[in-house]
Amino acid sequence: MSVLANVFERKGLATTLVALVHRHAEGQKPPRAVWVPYWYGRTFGAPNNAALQMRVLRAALNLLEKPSGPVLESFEEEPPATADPDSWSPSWDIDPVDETISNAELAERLKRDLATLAPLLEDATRAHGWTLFGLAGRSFQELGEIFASYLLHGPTDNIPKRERAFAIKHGSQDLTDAFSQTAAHRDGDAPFAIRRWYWTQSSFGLVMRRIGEALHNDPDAKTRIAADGLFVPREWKF
Amino acid sequence: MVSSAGIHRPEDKPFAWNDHDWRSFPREQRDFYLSHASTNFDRSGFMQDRNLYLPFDRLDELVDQGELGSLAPTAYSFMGGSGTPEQFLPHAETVAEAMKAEGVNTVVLAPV
Repeated sequence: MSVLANVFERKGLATTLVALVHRHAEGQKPPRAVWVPYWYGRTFGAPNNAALQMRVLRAALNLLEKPSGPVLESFEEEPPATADPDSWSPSWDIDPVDETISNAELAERLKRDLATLAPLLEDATRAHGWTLFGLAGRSFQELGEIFASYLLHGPTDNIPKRERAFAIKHGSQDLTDAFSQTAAHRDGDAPFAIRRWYWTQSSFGLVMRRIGEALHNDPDAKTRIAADGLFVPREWKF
Repeated sequence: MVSSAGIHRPEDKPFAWNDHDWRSFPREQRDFYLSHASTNFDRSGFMQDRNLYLPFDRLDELVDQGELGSLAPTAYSFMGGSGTPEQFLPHAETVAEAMKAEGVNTVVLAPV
């Protein structure tokens, strides 16, 4: 972002940036930046907290009264508390999965959990007015079939090799988004808890961790890179 | 408003993980896909409230209160976190010219 800010400023546009990583803003020296103590993806503080969002925005806009420095200020307001990941679990009918489950059982479990999730995501989508689900261009059922097949047989689908990494990545993202949106709608804003439960307790997370592990030695370089770095958050990779 | 979240309209080409170019969308856009390659940032907040990445409602309030003049009709998204600064330069210059052509004089940049 800092490089963009510097280019825009050189082109005659005044810029102000909300920075999430202090050392990046320090090192890259955008013309004006306010650092906020929020997690990645929580740039303006918290969802449905208009007052906090406005305070962050004003802190950024107020920097425009200053010359292009570089200026780096800190916005010290802590984020609102969210659910404790150690005690959180979904309130709806979805059970944690045992990590020792066989691939065959996991494939069946994945399909069952997707069937449970599909109507719940519809509820959440109606409530929020939209959804991120759909990036892969496949239905829940299609995603279940593809990922179950990967678990059981490896990449025997009809997806061309050059598109495979994307297809898996986008499908994985759709499952993550569907679960996260549903969980936030039903159980409240709980970013850390939802994320940890998904990757350590859900069938969806375990499926992607196993597929990522299996594709670690795939002959296709793009697939290997994606499997190693883009399917599963680094802290939960096998 | 410029975001690095890798967001775009559903009909746009998703970002690949080595993309350094940009997508644009009208300020009134309400449906997005988020094809940023990273798994290491929160997306659940954005799904609950788009203002977490794109505070258009807050900016509209500042316009209504007379603190801002007006908002640009177009917003832009890059996919941050990959590549070198040099790879973004030509695209940043193109976006700067596009914003200036729309009469923009001030840019808020919001990473994720």
